[in-house]
Amino acid sequence: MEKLINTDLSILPEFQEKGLRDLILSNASKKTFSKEEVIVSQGVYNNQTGIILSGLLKVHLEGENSLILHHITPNNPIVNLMNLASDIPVRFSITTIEESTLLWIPNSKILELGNRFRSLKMHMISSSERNIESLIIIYRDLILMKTEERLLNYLKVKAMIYKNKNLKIPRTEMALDLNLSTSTISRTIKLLDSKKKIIQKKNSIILKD
Amino acid sequence: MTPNLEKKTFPKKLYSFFEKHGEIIKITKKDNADNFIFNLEKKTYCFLSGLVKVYVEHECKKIFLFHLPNNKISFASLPSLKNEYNLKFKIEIIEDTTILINSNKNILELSHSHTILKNYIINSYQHFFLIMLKKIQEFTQKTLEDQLLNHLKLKATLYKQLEIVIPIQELATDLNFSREAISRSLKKLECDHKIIRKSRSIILLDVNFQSLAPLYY
Repeated sequence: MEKLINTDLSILPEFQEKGLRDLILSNASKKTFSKEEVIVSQGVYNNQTGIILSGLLKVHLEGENSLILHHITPNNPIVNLMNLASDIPVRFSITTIEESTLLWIPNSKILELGNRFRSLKMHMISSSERNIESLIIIYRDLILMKTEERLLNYLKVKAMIYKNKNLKIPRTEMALDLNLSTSTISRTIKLLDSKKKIIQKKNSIILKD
Repeated sequence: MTPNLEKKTFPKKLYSFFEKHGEIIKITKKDNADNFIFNLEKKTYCFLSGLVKVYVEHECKKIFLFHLPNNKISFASLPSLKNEYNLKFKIEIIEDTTILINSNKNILELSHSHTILKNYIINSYQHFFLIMLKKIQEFTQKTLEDQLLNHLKLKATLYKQLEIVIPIQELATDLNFSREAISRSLKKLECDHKIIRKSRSIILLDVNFQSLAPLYY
């Protein structure tokens, strides 16, 4: 566990209510995770709420039913494990995509601080809504979209996150993220390439337009 | 058929809270069809009794999400207080429904001073999240027959009876499959002795209500 310093929360300008940052710092533990580290495991009890200070996280389902749910960046810093209301195991996993630093605060303390500080409460509501809305969008896309549309959207999201149209994502990772087989991914990449939506290179994919 | 939801206990404190700060109305199925419009961009609706279906609309297609209210919590609002993704929710009244209404602005404001309301929002959101996760997992893991059987069990739980009167078109909309696929799956379920198809209804076989309770959403 790393030592906390007052400037840790300077990237969170919205937490400006008097005393909030100090109380978060005095109740949080700070930890830096390396790339591709599982920081929250599906099915495990974890009664904490995270605040991401730097890095990039992927929220996903594991096992045969693997599927990416959404990403978490410091732009929307609350890592809400959706178990504030009752003590239940976390229903998803979180893996770092890049080295990431987080603060972890016990849920009981977050609830207490949420009662006192409006900005924190608004962040908690926003993070819950984002989590639900991202599930609705995933469900909608699973139902309505063809595989090629889902893959193209996935690549667009990745390009936006990495701010780079040249994407180096292994096919096995794409397959896990989209709950598809690697052979389906390969076929779909070929199809998107033939439709000039992407350029398939040996170790990367270039997104066009 | 009347859903067995009227006797669900709505927390007295929360009810009093809404009585004081909001509006309580009763909407019939006819009102919904004729003139009642849910303004989800601006208002929060808490479904006290009755039964509604919640959809999200995308390019003129309705995607069924869940029923409200449900047995996990006797109150619920929609996750649209901030609605950053601009999802278009649509609500269809299935049975006459009592709704507590307040503006999103008021709800957000009042949640700062009333812990009961804050807890209500957190609880609702956790529940919605779990419902959607379950739907995604069912869609990716289960065959259409399994999804259809679960949906019929859900309907049986809602109406507390094993004979379900439901058009194939409604099943097709709820499960987002074609009518033909639903018909084929019903036939398969009948061959597997899971249901009996009648001209206007479907009878579930070998089911007890206690085992159905967790399916309710």
